[in-house]
Amino acid sequence: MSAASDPILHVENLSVSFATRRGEHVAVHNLSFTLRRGKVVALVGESGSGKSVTARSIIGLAGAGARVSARRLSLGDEDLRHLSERQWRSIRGSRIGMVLQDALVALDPLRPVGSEIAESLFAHHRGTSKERAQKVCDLLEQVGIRDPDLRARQRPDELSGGLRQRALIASAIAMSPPFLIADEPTTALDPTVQAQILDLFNTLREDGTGLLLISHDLGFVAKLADEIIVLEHGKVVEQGAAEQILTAPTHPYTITLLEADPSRHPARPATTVPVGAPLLQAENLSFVRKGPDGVVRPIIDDVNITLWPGRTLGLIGESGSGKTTTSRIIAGLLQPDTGTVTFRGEPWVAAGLQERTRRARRRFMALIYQDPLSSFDPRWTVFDILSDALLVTGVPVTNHKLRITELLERVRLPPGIAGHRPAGMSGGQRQRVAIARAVAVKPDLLICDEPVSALDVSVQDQVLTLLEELQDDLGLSCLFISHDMGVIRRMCDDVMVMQNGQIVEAGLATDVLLRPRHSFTRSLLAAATKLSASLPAAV
Amino acid sequence: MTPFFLRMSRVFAKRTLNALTVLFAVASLCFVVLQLTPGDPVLAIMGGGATNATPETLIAARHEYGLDRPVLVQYGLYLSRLARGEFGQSFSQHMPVTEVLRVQAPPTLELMATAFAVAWLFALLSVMPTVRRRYSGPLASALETVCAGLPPFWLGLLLLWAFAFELGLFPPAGTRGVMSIVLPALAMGIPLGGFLAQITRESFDLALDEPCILTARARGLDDRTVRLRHVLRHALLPGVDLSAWGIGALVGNAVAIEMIFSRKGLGRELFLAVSNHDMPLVAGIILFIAVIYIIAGLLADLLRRLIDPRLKASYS
Repeated sequence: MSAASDPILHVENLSVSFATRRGEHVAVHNLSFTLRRGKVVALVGESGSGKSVTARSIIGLAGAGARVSARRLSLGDEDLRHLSERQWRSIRGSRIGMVLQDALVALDPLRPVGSEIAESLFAHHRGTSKERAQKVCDLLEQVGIRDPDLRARQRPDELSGGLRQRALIASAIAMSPPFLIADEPTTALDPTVQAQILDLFNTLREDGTGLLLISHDLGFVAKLADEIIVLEHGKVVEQGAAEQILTAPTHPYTITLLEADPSRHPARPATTVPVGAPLLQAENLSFVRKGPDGVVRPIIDDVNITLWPGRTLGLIGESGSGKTTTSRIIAGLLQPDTGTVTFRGEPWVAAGLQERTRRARRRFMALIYQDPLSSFDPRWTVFDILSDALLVTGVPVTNHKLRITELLERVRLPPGIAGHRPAGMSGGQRQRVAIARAVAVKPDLLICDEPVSALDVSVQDQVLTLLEELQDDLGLSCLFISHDMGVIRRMCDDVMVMQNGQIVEAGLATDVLLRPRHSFTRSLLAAATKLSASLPAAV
Repeated sequence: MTPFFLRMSRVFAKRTLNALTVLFAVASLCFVVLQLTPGDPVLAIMGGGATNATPETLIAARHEYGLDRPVLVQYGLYLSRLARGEFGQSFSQHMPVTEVLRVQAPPTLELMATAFAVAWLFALLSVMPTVRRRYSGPLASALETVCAGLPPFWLGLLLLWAFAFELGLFPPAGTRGVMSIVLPALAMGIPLGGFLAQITRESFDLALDEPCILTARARGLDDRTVRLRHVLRHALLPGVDLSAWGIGALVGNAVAIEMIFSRKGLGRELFLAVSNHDMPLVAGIILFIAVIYIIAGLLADLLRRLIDPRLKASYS
C-alpha cells in the first residue's frame, strides 16, 4: 500500500452549507486544495469566512445541521465522503490531528493536561495506562516542555499560555498523525509565545507532518505556508503559492488583509515631550496580592507613569505583567497599596481618598476594553448606551437624539444602528459603539486596554484609524495597552515596557522601538519581527 | 504545606461559626413559632382536651415545666439547655428526646438517602443519553418537566393505589424490609429528580458547546465516552448546588410521605409533636434536621471542589 506511506489529503470542490430559517446558508463554497506531508497549506480570512467550518468538515465534525458535499475528499486512497461514525473515529486523532485556539478552554479545564494527552492514545486503544503515562512524558518533552512529570499533573489554568498551547499540540500529535489541522493556533497569545509555537510547527513540518493552518493573521501564516488560500464569505478569492500571494497579491481583499497588518503602517512620527504640566502623573504605584499558594507577591511594583496632554503612551508587556492592573489603578477602579495618582492637577488616587471626591471628575476619563460586549448592558440598545453616557455630562435629554446621531457619524456607524443591541452586531461595530460612548463624555484621557486584540486585522486597521482621527480632532491624551508591537508602533508617542510588574524601559517610542536597551524589550521586538510578514528587521 | 493547613483551618473555623449561627437561628425560630401556635402545652402534657385534671394540678404541672415563668426567661432556659446538649423529655412520649431521635431518625435517613439516589439516577439516565437527540431529547425533557411538577404526596397516593393495592407488588405500609422503602422513595425521588434533570439538562447542553468537547471528539473519542468523561463533569455543578436545597425539600416531603405510608420516622414524629404541642421534641427534631441540612451543605461544597479543582484556588 504505497498510498499509506505517503498519503495525500485531497479536497476538491468542498462545499458546506447550513439550513437556517432564512433558507440555506453557504459557509464554504467550492474549496479545493491538496495537502502533502511536510507541506503547509494556509486558509486565511476574517471571522465568518468559513475557515473553521472547513477544518471541521475535513474530520467529519461539521455538526448535525451541516450539509457537506465534495467532488473529492480523500485521505490517501480512502474516500472520506461517506464514512460511518466509527470509521471517522479511527481517522480523527490518529491520521488527522486537530489543534484549536486557546488551550485554556480547548483542553478540558477540569483535568490535568497529562490525562488529556493520554486520552488521545486511549481513544485508539494504544498501550496500557502505564505505557500511555510514559508516552505522555515523551510527548511533552517533544514539544519542548521541561519537567514533563510535573507538568502532566497540572491543569491548563496552572500552566502559562505557552506551556498549555504546547500541551494542546502534544495531545494532537500523540498518535503521530501525518496531518495536523491548526485552527487559529496562536491567536490571543503573547508574541514571544507565538514565535515559540511557530518554531514548534516548523519542527513538526520538518519531521514530515502536513499542516493545514487556519488563521486571520497573514503575518503569522507567511512564515510557514507553502500555499495560501484566501477566503472571503466562504468563497476562495485568491489561491496560490505563498510567495506569490504575499509579494504580488491580485485580489483587492488580499491586498486589504496584507495592508491591514499594523506593522505595515508607518510608525508615528517622533515628537518632543511638550513643556508644561502633565495631564496625569502616577508615582510609586505598588499593588500586592496573595497568590493561590498563600504567598504575597507584587502584581505591580513601584510604577511611575506620566501622561502628557494630546500624547499617547503605550504600555507593552506580556499577559500577567501587570498592564491591566496598572490601568485599573490609574482609572481609579482599584486602590493601590502604595502610591498616588494626580489627574488634572488634583489628587486622583491616594491613601484615604474616597470615590465621592473622584466622581465629579470621572467624566474626564473614559475607558475602552478589549471585549466591549461584556461592558454593555445586553438589554440596552445603542441609543440607551450613548444616552446614558450623555446624561453624565449634563446634556439635556431633548438633545440626545441629535448628539447620538453626531456621535455615530463620528465613529462611522449608520444612524440606523441606534436601535440595535450590541449582541447582534459585529466585533468592529461594537468597538465603535464603545468608542462613541467613550468620547460622548468629552474626556481628556482615554484608557484603551487591548482595544483591537479581539478584532480581525482589517477591522483593527479601521478602528485604529478612527482612534487616530479622534485624537487629532479632540486633542485626547491616551493610555494605550497592547501586546502587539505593530499596533504600539503605529499609535504611540511614548512607550513603557512592563515585565513582572515593573517598568523595565521607558522613553520616546522611536527610541525604545528602534534602539531598545533592555534585553526584555529586545526579545519582544525580536518575536514581533519573526511573526510579521513585513516588519523591518532593523532592530 | 503549612499555608494549606492554615487556610483549611480558617475555612473550617468559618464554617463552624456559620453552622452555629444557623443552629441558633433555627432554635430561636422554633421557640417563637411554638409560642405563637394556639393551644395550651400543659393541657397537651396532661393528655389533651379530654383531661380531667383539676386546676391545681394544672398549675402545679405548669410550674414543674417552668411554663409559668416570663417568656424571655423560658427562652433563656431553653437555649442554655440546648447549648449543653440537653434536649429534655418529650411531653407526649414520656421519654428522652434523644431516645426518640435514636429510634426515629434511621428510617427517615434511609428513606431520604434512597429517594436522593433515585432522584440522581433518574436525572442522569434521563439527561445524559438524550441531550441534543432529535426525538428522545424533547421527549425526555417533557417527562422531566412533568415529574418536577408532581406533588410527592399525590404521587405517593397514586403509587400506593397502583403498585400496593391493585398490583400488590409492594407492601402498602410499614418500615420493615427493602420492599417497603421502594414506593415512598419513588414518590419523593421522582419530583426531585425532575428538578435535577431540568437544571442538569441545561448545563449539559451548554457544556456540549465547549471547545474542549470538540477537541475530545477530534481525538477520536466516541460520543458516549465524550459525554461521560467530559461533558458530564462540566454539567454537574448546578445540580450539586440544587442537591443541598433538595435535602431540605426531602425532609419537608418526608412528613407527608411517612404519614401516607405509615412509616416510622422523623417526619411523622414531627407532625405528631407539633399537634401535641410537644415543645422539647419539636425543637429536638428541628435541630436534628438543621444539622443534616448543614452537613449536606458541607458535602455539596466538598463535592463541588472535587468536580472543579479550580474552585480550590479561588475559594476564600
